[in-house]
Amino acid sequence: MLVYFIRKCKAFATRKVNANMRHTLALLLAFLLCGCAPSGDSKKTIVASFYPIAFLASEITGNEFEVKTLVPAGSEPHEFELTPRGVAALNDASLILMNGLGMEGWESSLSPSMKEKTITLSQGLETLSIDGRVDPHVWLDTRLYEQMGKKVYEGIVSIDKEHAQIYADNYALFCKKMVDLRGYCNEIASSFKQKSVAVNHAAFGYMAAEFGFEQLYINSLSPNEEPTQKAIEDIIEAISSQGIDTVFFEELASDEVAKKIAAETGAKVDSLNPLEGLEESEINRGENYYSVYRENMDKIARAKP
Amino acid sequence: MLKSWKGGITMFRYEFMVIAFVVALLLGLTFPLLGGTVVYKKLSSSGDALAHSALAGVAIGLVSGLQALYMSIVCCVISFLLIGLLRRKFGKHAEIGVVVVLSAAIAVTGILSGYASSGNFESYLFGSILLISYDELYVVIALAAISIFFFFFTYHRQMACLYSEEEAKIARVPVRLLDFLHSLLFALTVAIGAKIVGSLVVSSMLVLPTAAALLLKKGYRMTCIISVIVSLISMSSGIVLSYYLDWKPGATSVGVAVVILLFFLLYRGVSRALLRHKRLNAPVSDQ
Repeated sequence: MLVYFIRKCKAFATRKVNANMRHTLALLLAFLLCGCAPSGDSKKTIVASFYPIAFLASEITGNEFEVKTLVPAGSEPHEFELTPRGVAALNDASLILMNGLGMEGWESSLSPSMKEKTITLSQGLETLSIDGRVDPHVWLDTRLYEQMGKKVYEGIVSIDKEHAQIYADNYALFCKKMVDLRGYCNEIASSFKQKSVAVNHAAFGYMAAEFGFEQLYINSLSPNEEPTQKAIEDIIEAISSQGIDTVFFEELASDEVAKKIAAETGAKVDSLNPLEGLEESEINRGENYYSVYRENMDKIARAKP
Repeated sequence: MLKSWKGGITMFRYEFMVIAFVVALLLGLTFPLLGGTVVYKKLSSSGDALAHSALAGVAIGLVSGLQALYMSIVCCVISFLLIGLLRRKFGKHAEIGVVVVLSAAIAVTGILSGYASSGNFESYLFGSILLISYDELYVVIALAAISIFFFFFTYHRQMACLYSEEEAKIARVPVRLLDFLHSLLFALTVAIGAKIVGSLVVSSMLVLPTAAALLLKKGYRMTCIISVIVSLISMSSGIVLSYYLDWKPGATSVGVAVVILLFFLLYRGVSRALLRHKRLNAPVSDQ
């Protein structure tokens, strides 16, 4: 069998008509052998699954570690597939930080050596549920985000005790900024009376719980799922009965459904950012977790009722 | 040249890349061996239908609390047998059976997904070739071994069936049994393949290599051989290219297969044109 196959292959390779194909083969081989390897950085890395997690890491490490974000800026983490470079980064990282609660679809397939250096930040947090599913957007509760920051701090200190003082200072600064942020939001929230906010997908449950407003949503937990008839009917009913003037959709997801419902009810459409990822341009403009969170809060405050 | 050699080697610095490469080669061998028959039977889209059935299986598994992967395998087998049954019912329009099963699977998945307790249940099914555990590697090795054994053991009988089922029956080829075994193996490949490398890769790579090989019109045996070679090149170069270009490996493999297919198409067009040109210009005595 094998001999036959080899003979056939030889015949195949020597046949004149197949010069073209041999050419392709050679080209592919050339591809195989060339190409530059990703440069071996000497700086130790921390890999974070997506934006808010990476932001925590960079706030606390300062310049000591390079922080890599697996989900590229501006992509939606729910729909993310790993590339070889991503897996290579996971492999080489000193520490892997994840949110957990199903935000990382690839979580279960990590190799044992990767799992060993992984910290799942949502572990042990008090989570909320929506329609019987655990809501993974824990980073939108400023108190929980602070707890996640503490885990990151402890994790980084445990792998690099030498610079513990730097991390302690950075962590203290982070806590102070979070207290400022919470103060800002609480002040705005103090004027909320029976506040209802209509959103495209139920990403803002934690924010709603912390600052005392109600979240009316079209889709529960997947941003781009097809909404059911009843969900649309319910939200239109609620919008008109409660006098809601703005329907929010989230950046990175489709605004189609929000627009349709806005048109049906005469409400405006505006965007909220659930902070799952920031665009490259936003980051370059100096936007970060704190500033976007404030902006969200301002927008919610402006919407009626 | 030496430097570029090094560049080629660095990707194998990582164990996960080595495993991905091995799995790509094994599946690259398995897919066309099982997918060929399906293409010849004009059921090319059944891979796609089965991948959706597998997803329906996962939904059923999550709602009923049974093991998701086993349910997806069971669903795949049932679906493929159903496709076979419908194919006989619809006669000439065999592909209708595929569409019926595909639609049913999508409907079941869509309805049940509302009841599943876990949000992104796709992650139960759609894997990535880059994150393969040792257990999954063994499964792939076993699957490849069984498929290769099945292919060579039934090679002539399958060819007879494809030529004419009636004549094969007269020649005492167990047509139904062969069909059933192939269905079983095919469904298993789709369910396991989707779990390990993703459904896009499975449904495309079952068909594209054979489709490309068919373009060259070299007869059954050569078509099989060429399809295996095309499949191996696509799968392995998909892994390599995706590493250097930072693309998604599954999509890259499929992309390479499509490019090869287009290349064959072009090649056929050019060689035909050349042949015609030659015939026109050849002296009469040569004809």
